[in-house]
Amino acid sequence: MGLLGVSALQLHAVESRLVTQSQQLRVLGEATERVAAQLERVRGGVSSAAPASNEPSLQGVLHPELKDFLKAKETHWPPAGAKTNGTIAVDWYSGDPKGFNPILENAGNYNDKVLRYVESSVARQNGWTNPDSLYGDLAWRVEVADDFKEFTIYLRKGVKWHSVSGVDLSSPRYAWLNQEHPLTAHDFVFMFDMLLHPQVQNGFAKSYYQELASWKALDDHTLQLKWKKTQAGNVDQSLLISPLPKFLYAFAEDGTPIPEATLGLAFNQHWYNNRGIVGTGPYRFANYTPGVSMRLERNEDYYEELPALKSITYPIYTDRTQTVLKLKSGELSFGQLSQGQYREEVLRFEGLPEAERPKGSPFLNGDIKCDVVDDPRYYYMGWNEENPLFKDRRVRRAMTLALNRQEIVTKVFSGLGQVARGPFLETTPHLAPEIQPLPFDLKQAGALLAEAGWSDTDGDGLLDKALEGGKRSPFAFTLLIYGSSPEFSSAANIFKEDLLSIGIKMSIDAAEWSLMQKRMEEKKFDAYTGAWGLPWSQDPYQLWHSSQADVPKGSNQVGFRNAKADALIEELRNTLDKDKRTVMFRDLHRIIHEEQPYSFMFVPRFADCYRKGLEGVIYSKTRPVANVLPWWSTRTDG
Amino acid sequence: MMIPTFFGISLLIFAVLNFAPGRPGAQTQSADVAGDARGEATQESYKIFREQFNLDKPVLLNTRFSLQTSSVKRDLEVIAKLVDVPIAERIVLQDRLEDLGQYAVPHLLTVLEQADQSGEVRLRDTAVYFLRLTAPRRLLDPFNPQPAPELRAYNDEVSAERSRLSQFRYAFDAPESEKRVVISGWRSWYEQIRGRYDYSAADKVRILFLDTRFATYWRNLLRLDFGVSLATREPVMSTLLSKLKYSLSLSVMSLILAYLIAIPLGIFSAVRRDTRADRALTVSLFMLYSLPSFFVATVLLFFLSAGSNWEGLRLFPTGGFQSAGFEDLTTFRKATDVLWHLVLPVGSLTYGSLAVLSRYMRTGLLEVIGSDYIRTARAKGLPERLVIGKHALRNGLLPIITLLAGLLPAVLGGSVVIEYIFGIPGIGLWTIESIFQRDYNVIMGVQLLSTVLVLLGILLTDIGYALVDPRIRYN
Repeated sequence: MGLLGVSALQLHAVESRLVTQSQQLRVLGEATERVAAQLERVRGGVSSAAPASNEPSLQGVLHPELKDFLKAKETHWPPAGAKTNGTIAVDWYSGDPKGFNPILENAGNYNDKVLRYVESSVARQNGWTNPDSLYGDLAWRVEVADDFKEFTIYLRKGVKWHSVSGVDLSSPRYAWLNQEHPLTAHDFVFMFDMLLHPQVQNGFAKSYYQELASWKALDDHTLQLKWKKTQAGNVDQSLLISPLPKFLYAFAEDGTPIPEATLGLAFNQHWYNNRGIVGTGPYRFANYTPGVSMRLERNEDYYEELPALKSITYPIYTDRTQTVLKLKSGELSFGQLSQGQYREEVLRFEGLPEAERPKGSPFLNGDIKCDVVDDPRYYYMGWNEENPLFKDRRVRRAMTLALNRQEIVTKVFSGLGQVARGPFLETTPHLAPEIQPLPFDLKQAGALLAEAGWSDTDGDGLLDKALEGGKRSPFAFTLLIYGSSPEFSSAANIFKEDLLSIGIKMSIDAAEWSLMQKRMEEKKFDAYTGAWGLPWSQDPYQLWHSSQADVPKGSNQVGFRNAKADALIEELRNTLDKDKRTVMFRDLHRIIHEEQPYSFMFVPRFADCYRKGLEGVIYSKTRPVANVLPWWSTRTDG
Repeated sequence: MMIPTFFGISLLIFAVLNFAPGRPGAQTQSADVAGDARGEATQESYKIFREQFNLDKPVLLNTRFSLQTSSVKRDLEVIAKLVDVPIAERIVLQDRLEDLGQYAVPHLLTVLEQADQSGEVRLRDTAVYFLRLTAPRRLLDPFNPQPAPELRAYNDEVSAERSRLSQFRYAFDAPESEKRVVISGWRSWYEQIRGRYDYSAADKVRILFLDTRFATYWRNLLRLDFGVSLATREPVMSTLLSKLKYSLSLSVMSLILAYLIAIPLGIFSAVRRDTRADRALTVSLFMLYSLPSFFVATVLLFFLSAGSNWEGLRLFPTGGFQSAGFEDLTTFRKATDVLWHLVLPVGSLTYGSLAVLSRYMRTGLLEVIGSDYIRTARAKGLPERLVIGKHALRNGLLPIITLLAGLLPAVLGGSVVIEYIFGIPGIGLWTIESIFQRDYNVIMGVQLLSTVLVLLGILLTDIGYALVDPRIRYN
């Protein structure tokens, strides 16, 4: 026993020495890497400026007469005086990602927190200033011809794919991956081959490319996309795309090419799908330990401006309450608090005398700072128009009038939200300026219901009416809500009380997500609460076009059908002129406001909190709002 | 006995799973995350997903070979909106018709011919739409990176046919001449492969029992293939094994700790029966027992973790299984790091079981102490320490050993609540996530394993009895 202890101790001592040595070696390696990277950056600066100043380089392009479609980059980083070796640790409370394959996955946080940094795209939005203008990322020139139906994209030369992580490159098994791989236009072609492959399981992405006629590489660095129709979405769909490394995804784990016939299905279960992601962007996906953490490291070979943060770490956990604890302990340097958490940690102490505040809390002693930020999404209640109860527009309006939205925001969500006016972003001009949210007015709601033929004839306190020739039946319905959200149960209860006071009986059915989804798909609901993200440029077709009401699993679950709205939506798809679009969007908003297919609830705000040492925190106008590229940190420990 | 029991249990789990409400979804979102574009392409994606996991097949018995053309026609009429039904019904029918797959093909073609003759354009077009969805055959063993030549040839042929059939489509508002071309395409294709849909009696028996979800699942199981997770598409077995270390270290440690504390406490209570100390101990243990673990865990985290508001109390990490930079630590440091992370979770998992275990120990021991041979031992003049320690304890341990068998599946299943709160990526957490996502393969895998463990636990208890009590012998 004693002997065992001694040898264990010796082993420990030897191992400690080895670990220290390897750490020293790594630091040394990083230092040389840094020097090399700085040299690279100096050279990179010269070469990236070249195409702009060097007009003759336009020789050999397809349409030299056309102006470059790309605009200048408006936000630059790192800011002057920023430290360039700081690190950041950001919250990730949704557990292990389901996979990393960018063609198959569409989880919001994966897109916003990983893909955004690891992948490059043809162009990027000037998200902090004007998201409508795109600057070149992988492309140095884009020609748009044939009335927005033909896009010719000229790619930078010399861009390399990140080295593959998640496999042991030194082992002979992966020798086939252990080399430099240049990015070419064929990687874009391969991306489209997979994206549009009938057997690749990614309907959410495919539906955007139904009108893409062809995609081909004119040479190694020129990509051409042709569309069947001129559509408003063509610009974003052609330029905000990222390539897919063909050298990786077209091959089995032993390096043999996957047979052509089974490539589509095999892609769904590709061996690399759960290992990581390889890109060409400013950060390299360096490490993933399931259930523990993910780490992105700065790509020192990056061809564009290098961001200041050296690495981004995501500790993986599943309970959102941990965000608060981990921020306090310093394990996280940035994290988003829910409204309830922000109230518990900050709001409830506001205005209290110094003596009554907990002294040790970093939220109050200045160690952690919070910004309250609008989140580009809205919550709503949807009314099933297939249900005779809600067929009548007046009834739906009455519902909105009876929904005390301001109180729900104030009492349930601690005031962190703004009553929504309609289904578009407030920062875009798409909402009709004269429309104000309907007030909370039970009297007016009652009057509208009476007008629609609802009255209490049997004296039981509930309104009744003979629906579709049947017997008189009381006004009773069920609101389907997402069961795991205490906030929405509280909101629903406020609504329930108010409805009862005007003679309507509402029951609340809290279902877990997969059940809720199934009921909505089968249209087995009266009303439900939901949320939609608000993208910068949006196509209202999916949500509001009547054809989508008949599509199984379609998004027009409430069955909104309006001929005028349909015409506007179709026209919007074919109109690219910004001013004309604004007019049409506003008309659509007016119709939707009039019809009230949804009772728009509110646009939430969240508290984005960060520890001292994180600097230059600015927020983007588009998702992800907390884009860390321009940020920097004085901390080097996460 | 064990094997039929196992089979029966698996049948039961399988049935419950497949008839439970809700549906598996490849892309699960929380209601909080805004939705995405969905439409026809999504519908097709979902079909691929269902095929991949055999969700399109009937659960236990497949009678689709005896499908009637008239019923297919009726469904088509509903879907084509020729009959007025609530939209919900229509949506269900669309899914059902798609799931029929190959079996629907001859009937769809018959409907197509009939409708074409009688001039029911809408019905005909709907039949063509569904033909395109159901007629393509499936690829065999598509994940095999190095298929045998015959397999490769078969898949190449299927693939060629699939791409040919994918051309046989038209928009509902296309000109009639274009539609005619497509329809004659379907006709000539069907003439070529007609024989494929003539089922012999043997075929029917095979289809009835074997072309079902249950049979497919068992066929795979016999090859020790638990399938892949519907959500991550990772093999269930390898994920299970990788998560085992988290759950095992948590629960084994908690189990050992519980026994180490409960046995002496039980002995103490038995020896000092009905004294004030015994009562105080009982009351405090039951108070602990009645505190829910999720509450205690949260309180512990709030006060004693690194996220505490009180500087002096920041003793333990805020959760997780290991620190950042774990790979760079020595083995010894790794061990202490994990132990340090496990203090709070193990603590919150253990305290509740102390009451039960120590009560069992106490009663077990008391029963023995009252028996004749203990009186004899005492009468011999043996010191009390020997009487209890040597003679009574061995028999007194019996009930507590029985308990161990029942605890074995819990050891593997881990503790859902504790794993969730402390962010330990173990099997419990995985199971609950899988249940919410209707990830059938994972749930089946975990449940079957715990079935094996229960059976194994019963076996171990019997063996344990024999070891402790020499009177018990199995032949």
